[in-house]
Amino acid sequence: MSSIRLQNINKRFGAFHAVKDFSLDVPEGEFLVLLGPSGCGKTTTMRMVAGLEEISEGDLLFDDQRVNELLPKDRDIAMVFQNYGLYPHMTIKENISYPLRLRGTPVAERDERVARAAKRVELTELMDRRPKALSGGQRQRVALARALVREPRVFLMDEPLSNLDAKLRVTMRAELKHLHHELGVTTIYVTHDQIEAMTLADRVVVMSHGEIIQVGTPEQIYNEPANLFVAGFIGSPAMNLIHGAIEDGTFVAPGVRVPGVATGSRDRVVLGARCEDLDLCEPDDGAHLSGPLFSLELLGETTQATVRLPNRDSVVIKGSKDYREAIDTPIGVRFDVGKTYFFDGTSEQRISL
Amino acid sequence: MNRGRSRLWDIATTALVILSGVFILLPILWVFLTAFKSEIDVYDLSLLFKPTVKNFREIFSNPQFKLGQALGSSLIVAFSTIAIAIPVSTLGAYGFARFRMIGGRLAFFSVLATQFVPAVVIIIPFFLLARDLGMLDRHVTLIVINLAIVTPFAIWMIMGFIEGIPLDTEESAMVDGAGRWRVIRDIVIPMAAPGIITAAIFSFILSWNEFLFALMISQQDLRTWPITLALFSDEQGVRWEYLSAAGVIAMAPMFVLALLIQKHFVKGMTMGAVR
Repeated sequence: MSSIRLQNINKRFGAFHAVKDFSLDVPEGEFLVLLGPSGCGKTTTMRMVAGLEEISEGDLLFDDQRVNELLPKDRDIAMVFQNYGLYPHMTIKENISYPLRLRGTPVAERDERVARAAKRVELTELMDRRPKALSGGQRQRVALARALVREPRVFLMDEPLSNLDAKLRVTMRAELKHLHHELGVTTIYVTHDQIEAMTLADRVVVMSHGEIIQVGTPEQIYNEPANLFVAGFIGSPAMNLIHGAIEDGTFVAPGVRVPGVATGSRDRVVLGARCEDLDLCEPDDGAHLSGPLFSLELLGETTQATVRLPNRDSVVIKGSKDYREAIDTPIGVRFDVGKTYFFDGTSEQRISL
Repeated sequence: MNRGRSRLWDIATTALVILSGVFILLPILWVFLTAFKSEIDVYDLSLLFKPTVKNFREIFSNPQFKLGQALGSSLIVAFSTIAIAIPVSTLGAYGFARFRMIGGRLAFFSVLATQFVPAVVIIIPFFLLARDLGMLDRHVTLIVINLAIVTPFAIWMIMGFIEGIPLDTEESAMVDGAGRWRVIRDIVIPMAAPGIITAAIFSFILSWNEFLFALMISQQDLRTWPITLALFSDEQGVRWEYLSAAGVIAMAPMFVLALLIQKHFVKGMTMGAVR
């Protein structure tokens, strides 16, 4: 187990600046998730930690020792790749034991550790097969076992669940979380799936265009988004964002009037509200927002209603599972003023009014 | 109507395949049969004759033909060529496939471009070079020349296979603790094996059949099998039955190789072609 420190890390591919001045401390045993849309530099950052990508500028430290120049093989890390990176010409047993073979672990110990790792991810029955004969989920578990067998200083996982079907992804997510709880190895996990990030992470790093946008616990990221990007990225569905202005303490947008949110006036303001903090009501029953119902989706335990405003902003509201209305019916929405967020329309940063 | 036309098409293509097969195989069959004929039957087109292995005994026992020596020369040259060409090409192909370097593409195309030069164009310079260095009539000269012919081709073929190996697989070996050499040994070579084997066979065939340069280099000691075949005559003129027997022996390793590695061979050919 190691702590990891990234100090002003930069990565350039020719003229393209992929990672910009990335600085972060990852304490020993933490489960850190790098989250962002594709192309945001999260995988590049992880690959620099792995040693698969050269660091253009900055220092990478494991336990306060600079490892920039160390080859991947000498960093004592284990990595699970998006496509698993299994060795197709080796059996499952050979795949899992390969890291130990490279280290010259005695055969008896090797066999014992391979068996233990295989048991942990329930692969014991499949040891003599080749990867080709396995399902996606099983291959994923082989990749995990191969990472586990060595008890490395750091685990790196690059979108390990993205090739699995939705149901298996949920199961594997729980298994990964449990594994981390058991082993306590420092883990960096890359994903573009904010649900994975929220469920797995001790801390989430939200990235965009090669920069850190916000670092925090899943609660902080969800409840205190630093700017419009995070607000629009985290949560499923994402936070409702309505472009408007504040006039004498009232937030105003086409079809929307939310009084008592501030004092004074301000142009170009974006109001944010999570769908679970909104209530459906009749348009004339003290509604802050009214408009025709755009769509209605039954999700099982809730119903999701969408209203589209004249300025093309969509507002999604979570209703009870029995809520039914025909499309185009005029409906009203009430905001919980204490649970609204405001962002500057120009700088896109969160503002307190 | 459509069905009728597709049936007609099937018949036409089948006929064409059979015809080309006959065209290619008939001379081989003729050589094969002649090898087992006695002198009297050679010019008789009948398929019924009394087969004999006398020709094979004769060509090896007659010191005039020096067939033992020719076989030895051919084997030395062909095996030495692949023994050097294949490891070198594998590493070269890996380098071209995986390392981005300034002028890398140009270097690769330069290597490949050597294949476009007709052999007759460079035969005189090669001869002068060999003569001035006192290297005529030596195995090593022919091996070096064969390497120049075979290596670019082998690099190109193996490279297609190496590029087909997902980078993830190599990187995961590196993270697992393997250095570059170990990755090549444990991951790249086994995964590119069909390509490497195909390239080795092609190289063997090219070296084994190479005629022009061998003819130019050889004087007395270095006579490979194809050269010996070309000069195959005695005081009675060309003895077709002896020539055919020697031809069968020349073809034998190709047949055996082709049978052994058919599967790899086809895969190798198509993969190389697609990439």
